Amino acid sequence: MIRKNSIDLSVPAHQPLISILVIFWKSFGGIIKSFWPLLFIFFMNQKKGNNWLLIIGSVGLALISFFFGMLRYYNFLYHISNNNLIISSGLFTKVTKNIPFERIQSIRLEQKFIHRLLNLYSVRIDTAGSSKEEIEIPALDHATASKIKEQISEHNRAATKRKQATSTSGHSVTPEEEELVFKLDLTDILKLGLTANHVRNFFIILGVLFGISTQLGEIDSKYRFDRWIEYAIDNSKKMTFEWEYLLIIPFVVIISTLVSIGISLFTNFNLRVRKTPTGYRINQGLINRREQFAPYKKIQIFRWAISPLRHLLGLYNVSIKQASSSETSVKKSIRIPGAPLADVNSFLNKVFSKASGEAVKNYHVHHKLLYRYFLYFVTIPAFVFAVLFYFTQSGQFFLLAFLWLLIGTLCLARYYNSWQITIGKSYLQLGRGILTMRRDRIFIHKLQGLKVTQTPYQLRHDLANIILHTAAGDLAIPYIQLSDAHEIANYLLYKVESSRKAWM
Amino acid sequence: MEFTNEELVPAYLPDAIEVEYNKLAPSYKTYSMVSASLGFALFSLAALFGLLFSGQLSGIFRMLSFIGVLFLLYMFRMFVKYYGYGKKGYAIRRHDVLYKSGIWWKRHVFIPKNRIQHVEIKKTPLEDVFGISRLMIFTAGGSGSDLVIPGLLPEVAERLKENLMEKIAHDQEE
Repeated sequence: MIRKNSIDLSVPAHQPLISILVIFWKSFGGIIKSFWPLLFIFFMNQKKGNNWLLIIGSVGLALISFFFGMLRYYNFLYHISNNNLIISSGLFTKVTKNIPFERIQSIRLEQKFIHRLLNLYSVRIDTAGSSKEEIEIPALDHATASKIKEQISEHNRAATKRKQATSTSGHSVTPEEEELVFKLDLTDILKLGLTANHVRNFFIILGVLFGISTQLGEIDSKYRFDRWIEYAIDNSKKMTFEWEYLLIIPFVVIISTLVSIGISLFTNFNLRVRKTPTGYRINQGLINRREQFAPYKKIQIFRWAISPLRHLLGLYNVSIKQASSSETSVKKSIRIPGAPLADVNSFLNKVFSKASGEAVKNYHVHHKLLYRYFLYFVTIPAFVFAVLFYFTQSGQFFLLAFLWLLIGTLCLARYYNSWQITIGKSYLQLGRGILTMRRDRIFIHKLQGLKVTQTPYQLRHDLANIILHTAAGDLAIPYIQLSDAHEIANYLLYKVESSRKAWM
Repeated sequence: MEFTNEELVPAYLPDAIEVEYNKLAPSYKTYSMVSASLGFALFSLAALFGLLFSGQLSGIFRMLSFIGVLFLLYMFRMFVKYYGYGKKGYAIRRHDVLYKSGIWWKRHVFIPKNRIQHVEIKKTPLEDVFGISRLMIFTAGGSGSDLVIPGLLPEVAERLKENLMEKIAHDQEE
């Protein structure tokens, strides 16, 4: 038996020999899993006495899996150097992963069935970026696995202690006091229901009806939804268009509004947003009570949007986008509907501290965006409709082409005019929208990376796009002058690189 | 660390686009053309079989035009790989990693070193033949913010990796 302190992690080591079995189990199990229907059919169709083919096949597969498992075992090495966990693996494609301890968020020792049989553990590592990539040592004995875990957590504990020691001033531990920031009354809920996205809700009703009818349709086919549609189409063929049909519109509007109010009542009832020392707590719901929590440090994008209907009442939709994390089941995006501008502003000032409020510089998207988007989104589709009109001589296409040109132009003009790019000392804010005006604000120091791209057209005209990567999604700034793009990129990089603040 | 907070005028910041970019290893040019050729061969075979079995390739004219189209596509692909090589480049500055690429559609990627989560060095069998490997840099942003620098000599990849790791460790100490 190996004593715990005799384990040397600083030299590249294989997993224990027995872990070949785990690797074999995984790959063989994988083959079985992906082929089991085939195997099943094969097995069922076997005539008696022909079973040897199946047996040879399985044995052959098992042997091959075992062989590759062995190779994989011999190619898998792990060690620790300079507070980095280094894992190299790969049969044909060789990969060496380098994971700094500082970036490791959690280490889990896991045992699946096969591990339990062999008394082995798999070590799973999570970093903030690891949702895209699995980092794992598939099978280790308990002593080694826990030593790795111990060494990493020891290092990270020491690091956080050092950090706390340097930043003790002003950070007194406040008791769990909660401050009510925002709440919705019954009238607010009614207002929200009235101004909800009725088009979407109408489709929700259709969806629900469809669901019910499929359920009923299994009992009696006369309730089936496609029957209804067939019926409707048959009737519409028989009849000519009459203005009375327009009466259906108020009917649909009334139903949709009622449903919207219902939905609003169920989801937004008693909505309360409370500020706690570590984040926002949001409670809501009539029957299904829901509680969500947004820790300050996890907030990546703060978005507030207003639709034309809501504009009448001055009610904003606020959503807070967070960095996803594996350790807690925090929802990625939290929505607070119906906040008046004053509340949005006080939110903003709380999330982004007041000092960061002043803008340093505003930028504008270039008017060449208009030309390009006009070509892509207005002219080309309208042209297609015009061609269709030419060939079919059907007036609908003419109308469509005309309406597309008209509405498309209006939408585009509105979109272009709506663009706002503001860069503050520590934040960046983007605003845009056609009907619904959306504004996003992010902390510059929470950016993960950025990109400057240019299409051939932009290259010729010294224009560029900027794509901003955050831990809660990307934001894009289209069609700005290249010199502005340089300026913004350089400033943002400088801000991120000189910042000592944690992004999460 | 002493806290400084001087105001910086964006125009005087070091520029991230107009820096000297390092070229990828010369063998990467051949590698990318070979790799694209292999991919193209597979694609053409699939297209060939598909069209043959559906009987679309009856007659010499159709056959020839099929080959002609394939040939043009192939030449275009080779052109992209050949000229694309010269347009690719990376730079490691004190605080960030830069990568550019694109013949017609230009792309500059900037990853601050203090936002790197982990780093990988990868080598496919074909890359092994050409004696190159690729450095993969992962961040917590969407997969769009991950950076792959292909065509690095193994020792260069190793050096770059060391450099990036050093910065992360250094970062944590302050």
